[in-house]
Amino acid sequence: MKAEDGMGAPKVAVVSGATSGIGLATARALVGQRFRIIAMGRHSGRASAADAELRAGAEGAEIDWVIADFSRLADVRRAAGDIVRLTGHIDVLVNNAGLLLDRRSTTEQGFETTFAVNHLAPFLLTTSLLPLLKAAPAHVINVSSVGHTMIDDMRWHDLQMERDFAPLAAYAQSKLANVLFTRELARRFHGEGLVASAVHPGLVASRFPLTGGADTRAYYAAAQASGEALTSEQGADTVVWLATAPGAALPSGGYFAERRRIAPSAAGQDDDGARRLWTISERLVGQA
Amino acid sequence: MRIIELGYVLVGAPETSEWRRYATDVVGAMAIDDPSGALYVKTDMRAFRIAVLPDRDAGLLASGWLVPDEPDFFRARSELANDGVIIEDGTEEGAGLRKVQGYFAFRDPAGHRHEIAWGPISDFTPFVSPVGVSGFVTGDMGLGHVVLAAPSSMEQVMEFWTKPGRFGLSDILHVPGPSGAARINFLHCANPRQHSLAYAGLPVPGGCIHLMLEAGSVDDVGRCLDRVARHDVPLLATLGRHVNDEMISFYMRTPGGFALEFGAGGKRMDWSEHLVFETTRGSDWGHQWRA
Repeated sequence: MKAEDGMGAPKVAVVSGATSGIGLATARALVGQRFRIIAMGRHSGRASAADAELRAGAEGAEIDWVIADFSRLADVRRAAGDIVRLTGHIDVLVNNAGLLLDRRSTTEQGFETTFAVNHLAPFLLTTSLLPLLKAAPAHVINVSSVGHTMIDDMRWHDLQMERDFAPLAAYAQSKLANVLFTRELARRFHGEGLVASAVHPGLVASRFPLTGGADTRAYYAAAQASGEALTSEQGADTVVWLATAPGAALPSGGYFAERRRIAPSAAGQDDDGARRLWTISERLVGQA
Repeated sequence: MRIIELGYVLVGAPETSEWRRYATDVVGAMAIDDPSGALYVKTDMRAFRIAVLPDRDAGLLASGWLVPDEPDFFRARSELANDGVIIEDGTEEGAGLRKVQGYFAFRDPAGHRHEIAWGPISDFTPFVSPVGVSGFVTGDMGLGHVVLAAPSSMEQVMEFWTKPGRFGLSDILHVPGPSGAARINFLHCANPRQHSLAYAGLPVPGGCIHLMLEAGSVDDVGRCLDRVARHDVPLLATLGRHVNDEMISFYMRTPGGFALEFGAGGKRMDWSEHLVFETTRGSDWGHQWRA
């Protein structure tokens, strides 16, 4: 069946981090539903390989690639411009690209890399694409994680974690930021029909843990060995379900796992925190 | 405060009908619709042990702990209030829904909601399983146990439940976690159940890891496994026996997102002779977790 808007044009899905893992599995499933895909990746070589994989057995698939390094906000801004030139509307935006590190590093603009890649980049991409997102109106699906519960709240006075840096705390904060961003996006734009959701995909055996610390790699390896780890397709399941059944996400702003709407952490339900993060993020991406 | 049992749990559900089918056809409990929209799941002489309430989100809403009587209830309230715990007093309507004389609510240091209640109200209608479960082990052991996530606040949670909460540590289990070994602390209240409450230092979607119901016999467990297969309920861990409470059980998914441990043969403890122990293996055999 072809996913179409009311005018018969194919639905358009933008998927970041689409060269492997959950992003590639999401893009593959949406190609199968005849979405037109605008796929985003960091490496053009990996994008070529993923493109060939997506087109295999999918005759007539409409796939464009936009290459961007999410640790560079100028790159994200340029990528948003590329997307605007490719389409006049977006039906689904899957903010999936994300990373986990084993030590503190900073981007060219001086942001802690986890915070920049996992939060500021999707924030900038989404807000830059708002006219296209409102046109459909779109469903913005932010791939967060249950990892957001590993931190009590955002470190509001040290978001870049200059003091007491811990890789998992930085990851947890960035995933809490995804939940708060979803909440505020929903609050600001629900009147215009835009739907926002956050998803916990589960523990997925992808390339994701490879850049993490030894304990995290061991945890994923043990889960993979015992058969508890999910495949990328299983990890993408709730994302694809939401992308193809937007009514399931209403009222907007929910957090989902295994196709169920569940409560995020207490900090993830803090509307003041959500507003505060939006304001801070606008200022940070505006400076960059 | 002196908590004598896990008296009830409140569960939120966008569709209570999903719970009705699950509770009766799979678990083998009784399901009773309340005019308020709540669905009561009954496993013994009490009016209910699980109340499923219409809610936007799926998941555990609160664990309800019973104290012996009204003086204990007010003592518990003032002890917690004096400790700086924020108390939300119950309402008449809320007490009616919970079928208790009175209750108040608070959040533990990990953010989970708990309620302290006294005086359960029941008409003592006997439990009759719609699918032939011989019965559930409750009585002086409470409804079962609940295991919650405390990924960032284990020390505070343990301080809270062992000091003002007066729970005792039963045993400790170490499991792999994203930042090295994670600890699961098993706690008991003033009854012979090996643990009525446990906290795991792991992040878990929705915050509740599982709820346990103990059936009358191992045949009930086997027959429930047959129903799990027949109704295509996702099995999360195979049949196994735990080292701490010696229960033979399996784990399955519920409509609440969390797991239900369905077991039999749990050990009755004599706490005067108990030695707290730590283990790196939670089960003698079985309990293979799957994706």
